[in-house]
Amino acid sequence: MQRLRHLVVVVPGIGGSVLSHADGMPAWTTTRSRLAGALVRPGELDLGRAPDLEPTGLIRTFTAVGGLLHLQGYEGLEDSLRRAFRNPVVHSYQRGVPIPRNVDVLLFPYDFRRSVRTAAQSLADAVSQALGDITGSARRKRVIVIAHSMGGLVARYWLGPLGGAPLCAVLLTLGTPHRGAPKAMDWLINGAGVGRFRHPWVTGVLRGWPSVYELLPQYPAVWDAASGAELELVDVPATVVARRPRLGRYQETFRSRAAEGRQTHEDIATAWGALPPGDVPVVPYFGRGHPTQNHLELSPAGRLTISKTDPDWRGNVGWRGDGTVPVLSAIPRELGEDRSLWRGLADRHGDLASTAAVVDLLVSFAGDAMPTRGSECPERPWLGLDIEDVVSSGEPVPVGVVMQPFGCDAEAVHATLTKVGNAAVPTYQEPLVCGGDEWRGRLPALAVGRYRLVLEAQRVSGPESVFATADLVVLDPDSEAEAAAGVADADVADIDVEEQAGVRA
Amino acid sequence: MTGLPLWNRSQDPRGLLRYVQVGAAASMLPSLPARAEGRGDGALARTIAVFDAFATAGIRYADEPVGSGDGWQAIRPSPAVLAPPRLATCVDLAVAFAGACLDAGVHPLLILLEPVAGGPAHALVVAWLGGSWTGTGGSAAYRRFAPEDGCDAFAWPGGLRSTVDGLGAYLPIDIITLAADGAGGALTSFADAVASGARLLGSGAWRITAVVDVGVDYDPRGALSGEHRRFPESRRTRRWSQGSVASNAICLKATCRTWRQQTQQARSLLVTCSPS
Repeated sequence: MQRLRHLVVVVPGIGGSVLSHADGMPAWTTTRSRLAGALVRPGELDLGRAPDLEPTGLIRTFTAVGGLLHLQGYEGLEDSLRRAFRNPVVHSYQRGVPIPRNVDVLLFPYDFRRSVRTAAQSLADAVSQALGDITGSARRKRVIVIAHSMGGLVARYWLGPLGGAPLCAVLLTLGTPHRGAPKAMDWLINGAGVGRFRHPWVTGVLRGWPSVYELLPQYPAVWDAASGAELELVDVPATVVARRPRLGRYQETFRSRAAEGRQTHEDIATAWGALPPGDVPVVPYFGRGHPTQNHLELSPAGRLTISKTDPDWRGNVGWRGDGTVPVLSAIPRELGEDRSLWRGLADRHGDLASTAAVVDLLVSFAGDAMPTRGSECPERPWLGLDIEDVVSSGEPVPVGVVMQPFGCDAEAVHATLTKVGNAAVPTYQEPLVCGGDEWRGRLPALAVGRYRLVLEAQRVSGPESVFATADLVVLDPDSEAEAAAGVADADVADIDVEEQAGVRA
Repeated sequence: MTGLPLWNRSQDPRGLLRYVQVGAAASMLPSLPARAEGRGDGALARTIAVFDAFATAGIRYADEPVGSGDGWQAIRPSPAVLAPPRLATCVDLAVAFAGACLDAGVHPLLILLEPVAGGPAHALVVAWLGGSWTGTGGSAAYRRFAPEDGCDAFAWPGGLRSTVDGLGAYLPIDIITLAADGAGGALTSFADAVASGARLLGSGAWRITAVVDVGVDYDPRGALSGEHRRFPESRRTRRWSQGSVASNAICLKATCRTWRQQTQQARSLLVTCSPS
């Protein structure tokens, strides 16, 4: 078993850091009570009301909150590193707390509400402190960064615009929306929520976070049904508002913050364009094959709808994504034509945080002869899942399965649903129905709680089955709405109340 | 008989993990499939191949008293199970089979059972079919499959198969069924071994006393390594195995602890540590 030869820095995604008040009381973590607090009092995470939250650690426990964030803890990745290497010294960075001189793995929490640029500056400080006494050429290429989701943008900003490249041997990004994600647009314009139900108060808080605007798609992701052409991001606010005046108060906020977000991406692209080719290899790991929100359409009435079809004006139609980030968004601009470094995986977005493939690559960097294989497509058949992470109670839950890679077929696909903590008795166990390229089914209306769905496609290759799992959180829309009713925020008054009413009816 | 410290079924059921050896079956069973990653056979095909390799090894059931009333038991090292005279109890065979599964890239679990009405305990292996064993800790995909110890029943996320072709992410294998009995009885088929395992786990007559998740918890640093010896040796002159210095140290330490425990047990053990 090898020792780590590099300093491995782990940068989580949005929502992946514990944020605490000055007195040490967490405002954002994944204990049940604090999550409930975040839902009922989202102001705790409002940048205007609580600007000085301190990042104190990485989220360690899986959960989901309010339909907004599906959080996968980073304990899986940390555990894999501890098992793969000999006695690694793991330290969670916290401002003002000394970093051990022999640190091998630096977990880097940051205030994910703020701009990527702010987080990148903190990352630069943290790495500088971690390298401590190491000087001169010994610092060169001393760091390996593993970055999940938005953390990849933070790392890219540090390495590029902030000049961290000489320190870094390789950057591994796991489902990073290098070119943004249409889901962010949906959150900001239509509101964040569960299915059709939207959380005005959470949306209001989100609209105040600069980071969310840096997740907006940096490519023409919106199809304008009126003009019959795709819309650039910069044209979206005015076009939407012109057709839907209720959004007017938010128009300027959206326009200016989206522009700042775009500038962040431009700064990254410019700085990376100036680096010698291959100076810092970027290995983008991405999930593919899972139906992913990838197509926005603006109706003549100004309604923005989002769908999971791949827009035909972009490449790689049918690759889909990890359920959150479309494949092409998970690949940095400069690697658009360089497929040798693409690493396609069967994982969904949250699961990418602990994918084993990244550890294999690290082992090879530590000197073992383990082959660092990878390709743009997983080597075995897998199941692309079309299911929401968070759903409303009292309504049937649609489930879709797409056999991957395309052309692969199964004899039958079965779904088994169990309640977490009571897996001995399946809540639901039925076969799905094949319809064209997809297998579809509907789970019955479920009570509030957490569930685990296991899908088994039988006889995909010879006698072998292919399995997939998904965690499901069921929330009660009525109690969510009651909590929402007490929140008055002028900035969110434009959220579609009729959609909420539709759900409640 | 074994050269390894004794195992106590009631006090330390999960200690059985330390007897699992990686590499023994791979070196002694030429037909064992190599650990496959990426393309290649799936978990079911590899599990069947491991079973077939064991079936052709000609292992016989060791019909012998295997433990004391206090739960102490000698475990044969995997090389001893796979080399002449190829004798094994259900625990020996389950442990050796679990190690071979790891060699083949299959994620195994050891299941310990007791009859509800009392009587000799039993051990079998359950293989996870949802993916490969990729090394210590198991694969990332396995985390969501890890079985849960529920209030009144053991839960197998994705289901436990009752037949080879059935539904379920877990495949029970009553591995002792492949051992010929003392009278040279016929070996069973893989399908029969699965059916037998499913009957045991689904029957109200047996209860699970421990699940050892070998795929997750196997760690070469904690493994006891043993090798088959053809000639008797005293404990004091016993050679160290060919494992690492660290594993030998653990072996020695565990052995000393076992001796102390043996003394405390007022020499009540029914088993010996002399090689078979």
